[in-house]
Amino acid sequence: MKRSILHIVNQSPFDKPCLLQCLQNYSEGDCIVFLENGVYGLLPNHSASNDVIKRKCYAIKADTEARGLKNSIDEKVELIDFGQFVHLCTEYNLVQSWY
Amino acid sequence: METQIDSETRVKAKNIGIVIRHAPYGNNFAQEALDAILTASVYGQTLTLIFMGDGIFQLLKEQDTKAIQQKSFEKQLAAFELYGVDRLFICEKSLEERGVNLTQLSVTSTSLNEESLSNLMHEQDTLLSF
Repeated sequence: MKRSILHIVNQSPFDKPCLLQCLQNYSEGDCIVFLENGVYGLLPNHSASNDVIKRKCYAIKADTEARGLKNSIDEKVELIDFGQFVHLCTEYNLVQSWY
Repeated sequence: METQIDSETRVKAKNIGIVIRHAPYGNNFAQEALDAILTASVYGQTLTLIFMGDGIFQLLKEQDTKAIQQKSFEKQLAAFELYGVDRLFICEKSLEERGVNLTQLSVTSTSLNEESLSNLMHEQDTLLSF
């Protein structure tokens, strides 16, 4: 039985391969939550940027604001807070953290 | 399927996918994975071990850890069979990227391409990330 995964990425793609590994294991119906340094993965200029924007993406608003990225992130990415993050986790069968 | 631990405690068996991505010894993520695996198997869970990225390095033969004073992964992994932990899967691409082939590994595992590995992850009841 195929289930849906909520992926969590907290590392920058310029520094670690976590985002790439996440994308390799992403399936239709999954989503990705970007937090902490993972939000740098939402910048439009790295090798996987085009792949990222095709997926269902969320980002922790506080982390994007802290890093000065608010205006660099595509509108498609939904900015959420921790309460919404927790709620989101209950909507998916599986959670996989790529750290 | 249920396992009885004592007269009061029954535990339902779930399909637990253990996703193993870190190399051994540099930090303790890898050791935490092994500890969780043995504990879960004692409680009768159905475990699927998925080695990817640097996690594949945990399986290399001839690990001599005397000088760094840590428990050898090779020895710990050898005990898995005794605990009935025999569903080990390894990412083909991660092996290739690191120039490692199956003959260099100390345990029997099935190597899978990326798509099959991803499908395997999506079929579990729960995923633990290490």
